[in-house]
Amino acid sequence: MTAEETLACFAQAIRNVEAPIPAFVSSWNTEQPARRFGVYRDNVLQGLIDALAARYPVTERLVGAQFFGGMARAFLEVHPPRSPVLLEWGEDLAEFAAVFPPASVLPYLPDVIRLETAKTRAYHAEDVAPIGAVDLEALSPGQLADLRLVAHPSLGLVRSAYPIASIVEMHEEGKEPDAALVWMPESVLVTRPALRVELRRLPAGAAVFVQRLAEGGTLGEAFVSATASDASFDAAWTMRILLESGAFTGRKD
Amino acid sequence: MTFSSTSNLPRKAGLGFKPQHFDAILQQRQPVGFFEIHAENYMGAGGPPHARLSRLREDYALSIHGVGLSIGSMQPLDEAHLERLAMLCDRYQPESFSEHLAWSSHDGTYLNDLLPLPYTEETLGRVVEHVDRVQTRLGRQMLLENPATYLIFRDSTRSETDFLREVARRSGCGLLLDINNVFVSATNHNTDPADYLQTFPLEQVSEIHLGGHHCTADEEGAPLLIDSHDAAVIDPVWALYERVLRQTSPLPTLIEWDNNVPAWDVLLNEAETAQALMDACPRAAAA
Amino acid sequence: MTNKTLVGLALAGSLASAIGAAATPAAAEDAKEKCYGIALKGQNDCAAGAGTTCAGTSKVDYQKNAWKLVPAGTCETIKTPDGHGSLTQGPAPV
Repeated sequence: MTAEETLACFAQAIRNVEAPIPAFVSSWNTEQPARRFGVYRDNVLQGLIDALAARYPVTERLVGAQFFGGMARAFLEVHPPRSPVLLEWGEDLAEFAAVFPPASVLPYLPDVIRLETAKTRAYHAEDVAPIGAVDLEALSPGQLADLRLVAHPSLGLVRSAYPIASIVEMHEEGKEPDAALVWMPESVLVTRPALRVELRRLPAGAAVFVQRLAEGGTLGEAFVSATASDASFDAAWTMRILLESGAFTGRKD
Repeated sequence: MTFSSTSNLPRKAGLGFKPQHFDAILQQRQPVGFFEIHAENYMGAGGPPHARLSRLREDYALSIHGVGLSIGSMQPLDEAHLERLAMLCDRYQPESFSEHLAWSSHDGTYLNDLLPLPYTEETLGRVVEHVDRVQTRLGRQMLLENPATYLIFRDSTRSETDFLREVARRSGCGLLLDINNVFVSATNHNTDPADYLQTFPLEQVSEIHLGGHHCTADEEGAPLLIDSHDAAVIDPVWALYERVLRQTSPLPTLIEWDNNVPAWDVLLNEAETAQALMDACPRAAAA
Repeated sequence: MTNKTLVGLALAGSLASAIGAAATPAAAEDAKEKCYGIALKGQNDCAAGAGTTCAGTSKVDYQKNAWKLVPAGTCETIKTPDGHGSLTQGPAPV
């Protein structure tokens, strides 16, 4: 057995908890050091569950630690981390939860997970100064209509049929979730203009507007789409939110 | 082999940096020689982690301690991860970079633990190659840490101390001596930690780690210690530390406390204990 | 006037009023003071590294029957339109 085969076998026995303890390991007092080998299994498995729970604390509290652990374990089998940078691990959890049968009783769960994903991404995103009013105010109406903006690295938009921002907010430190939840669709803009991750609820038209811009559309195209989808679209309010939130960094040439 | 940069942390007690202590740390100049971070927690592009670390770096020496490079793997090193480490070292210019004699990735899957390897000629060659690659890419000497282990490989033909000595000799790396790991492993393998230290190449050691561990038992009822970094350093480990200090000059000494992280004062108190032992040791006075 | 001109004018008007009302994100320095020290929970700021978990000390639940899992957290407190902790109907209540 080469050393590479030995480690491959070790890794296999770590991941498959039903596999026998590899014959090449031992301890001073027993030929079958099951509990000792179990320490490595526990470290790997529980360490990864903990890392996922650290990224998705609202999700964990919503479903409870036991359910979360079970879901994390099932997720891990399909999407194990491919890199040691665990702060990036878990990007596929929302899609996984959407088809994880035990989670089907909570149809809002995948969108809550998407919002938590966007928050962490924003938290660790590159630090770039957002676009300011001064960058835009000199433009003519025609130039404004043709303007394309560069999305800030922290920009995230989660459009949901469920009150996901309210659900996330009621799980913040020091708050207790209660039943007084107004059950309505919420779309959430996630940005980090400086060091604080900011969440803002967007009305339907504003969400369309941001989405079109983020996809590379011009301000004019975004305006037309937003107005068409939402008669109450308020362009002035939306522009103000875009400037305040730091959702964009500059002009795309 | 010589390096443009070798480990040069102050020969003082240092602490692992935890974000929850940031405000407390900034209130005044803290009596610690350096801070240590886990490299992988600073591999995002930006945001508060980097803002805090940059601020801390203005005032303190820094040790970057990797936990995910998988140097003990028999497969090629993850070059993408090595690039991330190189970027981090470029960005913060740490006084020291260290990693573990262990593996954590296999076939591109990350297992998130420091897993053990057999100590043979074959694994020795591989580890030396990997350390060499890391030092070449980072353009600096690295330190390699002795692991805490829970079992042994029947195939091992070298002792751990012998293995580490040989890696250091062939690659030119320095060593990081984790005395808690020595205690944990020796207890787990029913050997004497003093014997381990007797054969450890202390002249290669550029940093010491101390930490707390958890006690449990195996199915035979024998003690099974787990390197959990969740408690204060215990007296027998302090005693081993003093023993090492009598043979070395004072060394950069880190208190590792990563789980159930206590208040800043408690952590500082551990560092002060280590510092007092360094100050009291006879060689220290002479140095 | 073309449609594009109208859109441009509407945008210019909106921008003008937005600029008047916006609190620019240049409150950044202030935000920095407030936030830099806070380790935001759930931002994976303290991602455990290999070998730094105390998992080995805990009994991991290796039960594999994940399909038997039932959500049992704060979702039970949140009242859905049906008045239950979960939405059993599937389609989104809009």
